[in-house]
Amino acid sequence: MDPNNSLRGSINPQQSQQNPYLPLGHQDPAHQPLPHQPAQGSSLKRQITDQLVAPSDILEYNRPNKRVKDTSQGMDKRHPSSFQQLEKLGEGTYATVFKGRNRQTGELVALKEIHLDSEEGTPSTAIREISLMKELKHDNIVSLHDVIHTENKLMLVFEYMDKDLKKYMDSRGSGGQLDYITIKSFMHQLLKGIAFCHENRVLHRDLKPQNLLINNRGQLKLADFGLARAFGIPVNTFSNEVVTLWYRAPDVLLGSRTYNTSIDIWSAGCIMAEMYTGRPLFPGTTNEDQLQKIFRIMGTPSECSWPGISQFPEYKSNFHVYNTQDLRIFLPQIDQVGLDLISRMLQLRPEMRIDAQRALQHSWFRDLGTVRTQQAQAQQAQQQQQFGGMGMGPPQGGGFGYGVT
Amino acid sequence: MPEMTEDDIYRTSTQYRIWSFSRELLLSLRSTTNESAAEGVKAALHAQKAAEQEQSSKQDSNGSPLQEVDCLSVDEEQKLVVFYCVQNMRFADFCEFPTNVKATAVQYLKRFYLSNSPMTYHPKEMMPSALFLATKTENHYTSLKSFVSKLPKTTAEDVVAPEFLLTQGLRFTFDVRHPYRGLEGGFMELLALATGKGQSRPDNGASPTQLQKQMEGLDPANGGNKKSRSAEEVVQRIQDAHGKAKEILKTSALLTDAYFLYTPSQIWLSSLFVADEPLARFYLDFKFPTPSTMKPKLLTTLGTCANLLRSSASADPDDSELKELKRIDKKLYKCRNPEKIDLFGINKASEEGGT
Repeated sequence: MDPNNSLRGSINPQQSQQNPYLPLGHQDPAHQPLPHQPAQGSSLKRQITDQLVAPSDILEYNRPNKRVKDTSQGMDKRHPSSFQQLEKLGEGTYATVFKGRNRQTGELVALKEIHLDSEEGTPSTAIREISLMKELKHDNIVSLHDVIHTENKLMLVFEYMDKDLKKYMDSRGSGGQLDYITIKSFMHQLLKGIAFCHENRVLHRDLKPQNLLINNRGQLKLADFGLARAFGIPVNTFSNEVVTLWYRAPDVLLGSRTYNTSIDIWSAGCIMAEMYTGRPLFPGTTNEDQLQKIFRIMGTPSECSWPGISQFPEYKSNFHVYNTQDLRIFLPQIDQVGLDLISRMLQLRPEMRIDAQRALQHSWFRDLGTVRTQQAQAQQAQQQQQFGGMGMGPPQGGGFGYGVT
Repeated sequence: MPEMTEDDIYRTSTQYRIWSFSRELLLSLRSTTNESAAEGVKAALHAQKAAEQEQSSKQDSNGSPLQEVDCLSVDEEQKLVVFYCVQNMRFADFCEFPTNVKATAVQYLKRFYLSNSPMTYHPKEMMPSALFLATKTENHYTSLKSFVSKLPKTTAEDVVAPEFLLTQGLRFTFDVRHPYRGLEGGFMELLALATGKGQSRPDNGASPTQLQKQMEGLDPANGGNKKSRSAEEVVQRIQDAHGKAKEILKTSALLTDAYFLYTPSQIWLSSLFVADEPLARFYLDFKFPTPSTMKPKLLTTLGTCANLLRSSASADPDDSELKELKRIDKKLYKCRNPEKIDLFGINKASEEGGT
């Protein structure tokens, strides 16, 4: 990290003109005095109850300072009953995800219900996910609207997305392959989301098509930050059991515990390949098999091509030696410039991998503007074809992508 | 897409968006909290008294009139909260938790008591919960069982019962930005400069060797009279300043309102000012070699922040402070909100459906 940065963070010229004591602008209307529970006589008991069932993420909302005594709970945006629970989208040990509808606005949401384990209080995975999602506000990161804590459960209210990338690919009816325009747009959005995470010192660690959500407007957003963590120094205590095998970087597979942002870039490279072919590039079954599948295409690394590799815990001197193959054989549809980008992402050595910011500046994205226009047209055509005259709603689906495991 | 600066990134943080205030606003928040808590206490005591009288009036109609309740002042509340922040730090040290866990737990208490009063929820009861929550958010998760075993006279229920109240009071924002990483970066840079390995900046004419010489000519730290004459002595000086600054960040920066009023970078730079002012001024001159309007403003801000750090309550209260704290706690005993004492019961009620 550039130590200069730490200084830059200290200055806000715009604001210091107003008040030298104030490091930052405070004209933000959100900075109103906190509402308090009114405490007059008989309403007190009622207020205790209200405070316990209605989460008070108050500063982000213009809630009245004193709540009207007989506010019906259904009218409170942050009461579970203000959402109509629709079909289940996914279930796991840590949470269940439902599609939901805001009764007042009609807006669709994804409701992630976290089972509370009274033994340990709120699960740390949930706490961590909430913590990160509150910080990461970006167009390409699924937005956490609200946290509702009530009875014996915790409910995270996310913006609704129509599908995850896996289902999106399956629904395209061309063996899961996506067209060039869509791939370019999705890759750009994916890298923008990743870049934002990395700038905020957050590793996602579990990027895979199931965790990338797509809406009908062609937007792609990163979801499921249950395994993500903020990184800082030192980074040597990360557990090495995180990324889903197929998208797991070779350094992680080799047992590195000092991995960094580059592990998300490897996953992005794998996802890019999969969008071209409709099939995972390295569908390994075990840690060893995963490494072998990678080496078979990318070539088996040696001390010569990767100094220090023999020091990794999972390194075996008897790895089968494969020659490096031309990625084009596996991705016949890819153009020369796209091939250059994916090759930079799928570098075996983590320090050789391109970072998200540079990847976004890669010349492959130069014609993105034109591509976007084409995509919009294509989408319109597709929607007309899909729903035209049939009076159908948007495609059903939604996925496990909000992360339930 | 232009790369975000550290400033831009900080401005997206909840610490900036939700937990940064002006001094005036901070004061008014606290007095509003205090007033409404006092009202709550009075109303609850009234209700309690009325119920008692209704009971006793069946036998005897002369109930004693309700005495005026003497509630805590904002200042007393603050002293109490800060004391329990100190206790929290001791707990954290006893459990051998890393600095980040300790510092985050302290900020949780400080944030929680912006909108809650000790008259409503006693800090003694929130403290274990704040520390436990910090182990979750700072990736230092400890099982509840082992956590509880380290704390005296604390049950698992004591830790978990206030957790929901706490998370609510924190508005479900758990990320706290600390000044520690900035401090380390700054000192790495200073050490590089001292050993002639500094990177000269395009806007700074001085070569690494010249910068190194400048450091040897600096005035001694804090009124001392011995200049550091060699590179080794400068390195020693930097290490001394590092140690002092780090100590300030682990104590005063946490116990004062620094996190509410200043950015992490301003806080660590101010700690350097307190530790070794000439060194801090050299560092800023190096960063801003050309005259700018920014620098005097920054210096003013760092000056006020440094004064705040110097004025911090002690992390090791002496007898007279403890006496005062005992007085406040005794006073609190009489003005606690009777309806909020049973956190266990409140938590239970909410689990059973919020009635």
